Order: sequence, then structure tokens, then C-alpha cells
Amino acid sequence: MTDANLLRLKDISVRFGGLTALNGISLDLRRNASLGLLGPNGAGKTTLFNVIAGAVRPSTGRVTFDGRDVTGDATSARSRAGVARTFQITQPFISLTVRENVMVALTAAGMAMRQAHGAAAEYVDFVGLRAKIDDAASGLSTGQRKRLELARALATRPKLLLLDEVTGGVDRPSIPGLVETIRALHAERGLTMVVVEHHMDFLGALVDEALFLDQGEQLVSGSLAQVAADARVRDIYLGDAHV
Amino acid sequence: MTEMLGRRPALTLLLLIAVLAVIPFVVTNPYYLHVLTIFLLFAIFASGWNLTLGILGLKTLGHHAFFALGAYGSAMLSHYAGVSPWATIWVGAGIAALAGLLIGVPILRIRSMPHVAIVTLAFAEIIRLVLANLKDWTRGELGFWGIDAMPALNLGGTVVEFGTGKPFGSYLLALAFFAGVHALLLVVLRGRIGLTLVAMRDSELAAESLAVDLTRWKLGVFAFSAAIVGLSGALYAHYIQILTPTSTVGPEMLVTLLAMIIVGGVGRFTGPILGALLLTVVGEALREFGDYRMLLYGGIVMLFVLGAPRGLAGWLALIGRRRAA
Repeated sequence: MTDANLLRLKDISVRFGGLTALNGISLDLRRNASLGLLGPNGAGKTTLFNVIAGAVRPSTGRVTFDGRDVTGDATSARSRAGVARTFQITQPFISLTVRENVMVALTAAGMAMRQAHGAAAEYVDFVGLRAKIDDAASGLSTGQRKRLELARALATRPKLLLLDEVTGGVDRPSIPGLVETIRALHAERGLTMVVVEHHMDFLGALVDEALFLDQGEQLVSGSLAQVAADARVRDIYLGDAHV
Repeated sequence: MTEMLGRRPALTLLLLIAVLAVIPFVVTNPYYLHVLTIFLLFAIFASGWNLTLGILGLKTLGHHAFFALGAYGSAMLSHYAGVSPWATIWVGAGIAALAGLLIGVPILRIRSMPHVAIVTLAFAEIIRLVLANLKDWTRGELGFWGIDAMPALNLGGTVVEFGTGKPFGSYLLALAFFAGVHALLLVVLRGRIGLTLVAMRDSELAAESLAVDLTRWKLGVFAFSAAIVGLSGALYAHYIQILTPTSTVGPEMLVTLLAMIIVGGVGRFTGPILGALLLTVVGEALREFGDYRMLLYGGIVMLFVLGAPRGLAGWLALIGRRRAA
């Protein structure tokens, strides 16, 4: 049975000791959709992200991916099922070259080293790091590291791509190119995405729908335009008196 | 991966083995051959340990336990059951591998490196105490003596003998195992395994997100690493032919081997080899200083840690790069 929804979250709560990071979040994400997670710092965006990626196990609730309950699956199993991610604080393999970074993903999926050596170039090219392909990843700028993580994530051939603050820490002139690369993934290749992004202007290019979180609660969800127009969202984002 | 393997690692290894193969035909002094035999066995030990300590980056401080398990396992099996040491050395390596799996399981759950260090260190201490107290079988600190030497081999009419007092054969045997183990390590590290281990060391989080099953990999590496160290212990047992718990799994063994890896270059393929060579030779050269020996030894280790923190292998790589530039 193919579910029209690639990802379903049902009543997800996450508690860290006495702190409730997420409270009763439910979400249905259609195939080929692109969802933005919005909210102020500490709203639970990264926690929700980690629940989807498998890095945080929810205290209650179920995660269904591609028609299968994956709530108890580890990150590596989620990756094999088709969930790929990038990190808010980039996690390059610094002792390896750009090409080798991508080869880790390819060989983990069972590709032979020799074949992976060639195939990695395709992903490195796509994210625009051709000139750096055999350079050490330790020498990359933040923007280039974000691109590297994107290449690595794509090399797992994901069904769902999770992008955590992809423009965070990136020098401003490099942002539009990065955003365009990601936009093409969604618009042209139809990749389903969940995006955490602070820049509202870039978010418009990346996502169609949005979920606004505040203090672990789901405040508003719908099209990006609807969410952005919501009075409560405007209040919080404009920093007006918020209780 | 260049950082781990160095440039042209296969050629380097081949040249090294070629030079080492000539030595016993030129050097006839049995004492020198003995020192170099110890170097070869410790190089296998250090390279095996380097897999978890350096390449995977887990601060495991109990690998001398695997050395002792391999040594005692092989020695006792051949002594009490009369099995040929040619077979028991592999059993010794197997016992060490099983112990590696056993200690690997709790390590998986520990994220803090100081705790990994303490757990593995405590494990080694347990092994030492067990060996010291199983007196009926191991004779404790009195020493397990009378261990069989590796049975002689007849190579095309030439009989090669091994064990204490047979430096020529013992050296060549150690060299054969040194060559075999390092060739195997090189093949493994150049391929998918080496790539994945370095990735895990740099970021477990990212590796896991790329479908790398951390549990399976860590346990596998632990067993493999322990097996190599166990094999070196078994070879050592049948060469020295006497074992005590303190000499195999005591603090001096821990410090000596750790120093070899650090001085040679943690996480580098050639590091443990260079470290074992330097410190075995230096350690012997310092014997004439009597009580000051360990002081000087410690001083040399300090010098390297401060002056060449990437070890001899890292330092040589740096010189190579400067020359090339």
C-alpha cells in the first residue's frame, strides 16, 4: 500500500526530564511537498527535526515513514529507509577529502570503493564543489561545508531530505546560489523536504507549507503565506509583547 | 585518508619489509636480533591497538589484556592439551577477539571518553588479577614457564628453529607475521573499512545519518583489533617461553605500548611501526643507565608529545610535504 503521505507524525511529545520540548505534534507530509519549520529559538524545531531523523526518540507518539512505523528505528536504519539530513552545526569528516566524504555514504549503501570514487563526483558537481573535490574537507568554509553535507545527504538517495539551517553561518553572497541548488532539488526533482530556516526571504523559495512552533506547541500550520500572515506568528517574529 | 595512510603506504611497507628481511643475514649478533624481534612483535601489537585507539578514536586503554589473553591462551592450550603452537596461536587470537566483543558491548553505550578509558583499564586489571590468582594453571607471578617454542619448520631441506636462543628463526617468523598483519591492515584500511572508521572518528552523528550502523562497526573493529593484539601475544609467548601476569598485562606494558603509538603517530598506519622501532631500540640502549632508564624513557616520550604531537609519522609527512612544495 502506498500512502499519499511520505511522513506522518502522530501526537509526538518529547520530554527531557522536566522540560517538555515538544507537546502533541501531529503532521502529515505529502510526497513531493516541502515544509518549513518555523519558530523562535527554543521552540522545538531542532528537536522535531531530530525526531524525524531518528536522533531523538519521542516520549509518546508514532513516526510513520513511507507506510512503515519507524518510531523505534535508529538513525542508520532511517537513513536506509530514505531519510537524509544536514546538520545545524556542520559535521564534515575533516580527515577525509570532499570526494571521500561522499564516498562514505555511497559505500555504506553497498557500492564498491572503485565505483564510489567515480560516482561521488556527480554529487560533488551538483552542489558546486567540483574545484574542491580532492581537497581536505577541513579546509572548507561554512558555506562549502553546508554544500558538502548536501552532497553527502543526496548520495544516500533519500526520499525525504531534512535541512537544518542551511544558510546559518554562510556568508551572505553565497546564500542565493545555495538556496537555488536546494530549490532545484524540490522544484525540478520533486524531492520531499523539511527545512528549518530563519531567513523568511529564502524560505519562500524553498517551501510551500509551514509549521509554526512555539514553546513545543504547534501554533499554526498551512501554506507558507497563511502561516506568515497569522497574527500570532507576526507577534512573535516581530518581537511584540509575547506571553 | 592520506592523513591516515601517508603517501604510497604500500611502497613504504614493502621497502621496510625488504630492509628488515636483509637484516638477519647481515647482523649476526643474537642480542640485536632479539631486540628487533621484540620490535616486530610490539609493532603488530601497537598496530592492532591503533585501530581502536587512533583510527576509530576510542580511548581504549586495556588492550594489553588481549595481549595477555592471546599469550596465556595459546601457551596453556599447547602446554596442557599438547596442541601444536602453530594451531594454538590462532586460538589465542580468537580468545582475544571474543574478549574484544565482550568488552565492546558496554563501550558502545558509553559516550564519554574518560569512562571508556576507565572501563577498559579496569578490564585489563581484572584479567591481570585472574591470571595471577589461577595459580594451579598459570603459576601466578611465579611465572608460567616451559612454554613450547613454535615447532621447527623444514623449508626445502633447511631446518628453521624458533624460540628463545634461536634468534635467526625467531626473527624471520616475527617478520613474516609482521608483514602479513600489516599487509592485511593496509588492504582493510585502504578500502571501505578504513573510510568508514575515519568517518566514525570524525563524526559519529554524521556517519550514522549516512546509514553507517555504529554498533555493528564498533563491535567488528573491537574484535578485529583484539584478535591482532592477541596474535602478537601468542607469538610473544612461544618466543619468550615464560609469562607472568605483570609482564604481559601490567602497567609497564600499558605505558610502553601507549608510548609507542603516541610517539609514532596516533591514528596513522606507519605510526605504531615507527614508534615500536624507536622505543624498543631506545629502551634497550638505555639499559646501561640502570635506574635512570625509565626516567630518560619518559623524557623522550614527553619530548615527542610536546615537540611532535602528531608523532614520528606525522612529522615525516610534514617534511615530505615541505620538500614537495
